[in-house]
Amino acid sequence: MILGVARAFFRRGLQEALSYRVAFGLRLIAMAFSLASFFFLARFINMGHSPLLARYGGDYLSFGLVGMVLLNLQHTAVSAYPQSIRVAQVAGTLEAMLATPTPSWMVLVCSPLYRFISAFLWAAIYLVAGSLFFGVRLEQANLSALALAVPLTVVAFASLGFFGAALTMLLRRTDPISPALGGLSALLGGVFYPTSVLPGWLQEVGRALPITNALEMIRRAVFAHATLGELARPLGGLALFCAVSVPTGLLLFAWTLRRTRRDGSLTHF
Amino acid sequence: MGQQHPTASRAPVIVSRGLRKHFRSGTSFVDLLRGRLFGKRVDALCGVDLEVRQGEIVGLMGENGAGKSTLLRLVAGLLVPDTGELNVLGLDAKRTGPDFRRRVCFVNCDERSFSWRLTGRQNLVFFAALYRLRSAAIQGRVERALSMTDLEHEADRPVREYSTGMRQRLALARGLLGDPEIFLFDEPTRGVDPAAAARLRCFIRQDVVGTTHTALVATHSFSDVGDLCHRVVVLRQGLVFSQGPAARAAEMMGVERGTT
Repeated sequence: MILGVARAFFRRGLQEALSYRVAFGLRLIAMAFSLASFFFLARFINMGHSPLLARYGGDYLSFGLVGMVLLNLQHTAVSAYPQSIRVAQVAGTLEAMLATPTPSWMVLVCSPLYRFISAFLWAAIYLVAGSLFFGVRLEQANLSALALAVPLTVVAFASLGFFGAALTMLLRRTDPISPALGGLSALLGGVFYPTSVLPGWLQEVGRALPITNALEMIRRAVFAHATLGELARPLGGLALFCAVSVPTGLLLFAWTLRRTRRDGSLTHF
Repeated sequence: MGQQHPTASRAPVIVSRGLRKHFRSGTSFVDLLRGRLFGKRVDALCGVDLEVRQGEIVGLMGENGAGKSTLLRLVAGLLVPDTGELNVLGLDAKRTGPDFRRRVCFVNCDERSFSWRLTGRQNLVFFAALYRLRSAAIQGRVERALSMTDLEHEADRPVREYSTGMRQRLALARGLLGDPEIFLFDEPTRGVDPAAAARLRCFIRQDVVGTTHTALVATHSFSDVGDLCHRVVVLRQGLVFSQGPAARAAEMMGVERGTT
């Protein structure tokens, strides 16, 4: 049954996206600008031959592109639930959906499906375009390591989305945690520079963020052909994060849902 | 309508005893700093006793804030009562599940309750999936609902191009997707011009509710009550103030007005 509901939400998201036909073209143009900027930034940085980049294949364009793509994915994962709930609250569709026989949790979980899937497609488009037009090297990737790293990253990011959704329902505000988390991730997560340039204690703080371990794993698996054994530390860190955040996020989400049904605030805005 | 409906011998399908519900207004950040964790208490229902029999169409009237919409949402299972008993179709409305919501349809007549960039048909197909219809059955059910609401020729236009009356009919079409036993209407003719409202009432009476379905209609319109309902219940400050035949609705509300 959940597949039918998921398909309906995805189709609705796609239909809405297709009704904004110019947006897709504009986004492609924005992507081209963004890639070109990274290309020239990388040309400048590569001139310095930073030894810190050697661990990740030595090329800043590849390093920075993966950082940017994962930061965007994290932002989508964290903000998709809150934004979907908030948009449905404001648009007035949430109560109509909750009045149907589909369980409330399923409505809320499936609501951002199109945003998730389109974010992954855009991430893939970025990487493929980077490879085709700007020389990002993807051919050395260790696919077996990626097969574990990518799903674990998705689960870790999605669990953050449950916290965001719960806070949106409680505070009736859009996306309360995404801006702070995005800033912290950019600072400590190794998105635009290796975390080894940070002071030691900040590196330790950064390791608590899921994006730090995800970036370490994915970059080394893609650009340095690292094996699962070599990725054991970030893999373990991310797995530990998931083990804590998934049940905690789901429990908080379920508790908030029950509370909003009791006090009638879910459809308020 | 307006005359007594021959439902006295039928079993009650909605029974509430001492139903209470309160809300808390939201707290600001400043309130939280002052140690106020909860906002001001608002008592929406203060012990409502109500019985609706199978096949009855009951109007709920009362001033703004009297508790009409809260009562509808409690019966729909969208809210949970604080205390009291609420039994709908033999089920405890505090523990509603998918089967309950299939049998009880809350017809959300808020014209904003659709994706405005999608067509009427696309919206209905989406909601049909949420009504847990099988893929093979969705198309047929959507076409039937469009036909019943006389929207089949407008079905492929975006909802943003619909008039208010058309959106109300689309809301009714959505309610028809699930084939429920009880309909709950929240101001079904709100914002609709008098002629369109009369057509809408006629349609609800003849094609939606018919003679076998039960309905609760929350409204401010005496025409809604007079044309649709067998009986009217007037709520005041969260309590049943008076109830009687629909023909006496104006008199009952007049009494209420005279005392406030």
